Amino acid sequence: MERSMSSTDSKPSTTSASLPQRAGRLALFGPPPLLEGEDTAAYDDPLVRISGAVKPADIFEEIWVRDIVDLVWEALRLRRLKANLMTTVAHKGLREILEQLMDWDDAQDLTDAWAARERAAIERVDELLASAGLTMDAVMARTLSLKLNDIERIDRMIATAEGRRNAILRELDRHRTTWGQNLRRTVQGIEEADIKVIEATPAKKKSAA
Amino acid sequence: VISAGKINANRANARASAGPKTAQGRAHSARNARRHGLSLPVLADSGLSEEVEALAGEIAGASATPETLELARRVAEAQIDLRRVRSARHDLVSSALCDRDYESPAAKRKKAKLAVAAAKLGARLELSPHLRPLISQLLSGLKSSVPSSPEGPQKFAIVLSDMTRQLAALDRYERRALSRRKFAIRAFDVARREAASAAD
Repeated sequence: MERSMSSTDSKPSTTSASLPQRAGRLALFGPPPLLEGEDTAAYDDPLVRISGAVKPADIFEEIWVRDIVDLVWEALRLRRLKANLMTTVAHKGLREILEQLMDWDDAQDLTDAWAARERAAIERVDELLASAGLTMDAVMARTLSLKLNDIERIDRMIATAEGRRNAILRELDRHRTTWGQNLRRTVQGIEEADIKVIEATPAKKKSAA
Repeated sequence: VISAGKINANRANARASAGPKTAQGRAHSARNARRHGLSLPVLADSGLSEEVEALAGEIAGASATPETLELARRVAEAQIDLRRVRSARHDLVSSALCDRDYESPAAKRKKAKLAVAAAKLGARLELSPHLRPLISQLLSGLKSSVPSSPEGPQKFAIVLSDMTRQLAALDRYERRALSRRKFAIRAFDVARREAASAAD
């Protein structure tokens, strides 16, 4: 976090939070929600970028920024999972299509070779699909139908994460409006206290020559 | 409807049971009904209560009135509760993903069924030696169809599928904590605005 306040007083502090303060806050917010194999640096990147863009002005905003980063991270993770899942089970969709185009045994062997990315198998699959008037889209559609429950579940989780992120952004907006009003009132108070009535001084008479 | 005789017999049997004897066993059985402990309020845990107080103090600031501190405490309580729920969800998914031998209940059931079928075929092998080649082929087919432990995205998808109910329950806890935090922050903001107006 670039800026922070020691409390939610109506004006932000101009200095950064001290290291022990930051460490304490990180403990209160919990560790980053990383799963096995996930990169800390990859998580820190959106944290730094979002913190830099939002510039949290008080502890509430720090909490929200952390929430937004966690939710963005979760949505990204789930999107990656969806894409990887489709890729890793594409051979199952292909196998089902090939079973209709050739012998069962041959379909198993060709699918295994295709999954191992053997050039000859890939070319043979393309030929077979083309001869049946199909493309890889048909394979992906079959794969989707095989994994529809999983994909739907992942989509719902993504929608939940995005919905929560949007709700937090709205709260951040509302909070900043309130904070802005407080700040404006405080500034006005300071300015009014500082304004001095300047008494008009009589103009000097020109001395007659 | 259970008969009175059966109820009496159950009660008599239960009275005859000595229950867990060792301290470890008693401690374990004391936690039988506990699933995640999230229905308990945060303040019921002394460690978390301290964290709530620390966060409330930081939110309210040094010159806080008792009213402001109370409002800050509500925010802090919701925030710590939220952290607790998220941590429980993370631990649930993470422990399953880290388990190298993770198997879904469905895969376990399938394996058990296949083992029974293989045992039956094996028994046939002894009785009908002339069917040996066919049965051997079937046995090897059965063994190869036993699902291996999933990995990568498939494992993640299976874990999410297996834990749908737990994750949905944790999601409800999270939604409630988020709502509590939102209204607590709004109340804190209103109080702060009113305090600023009064000071003017």
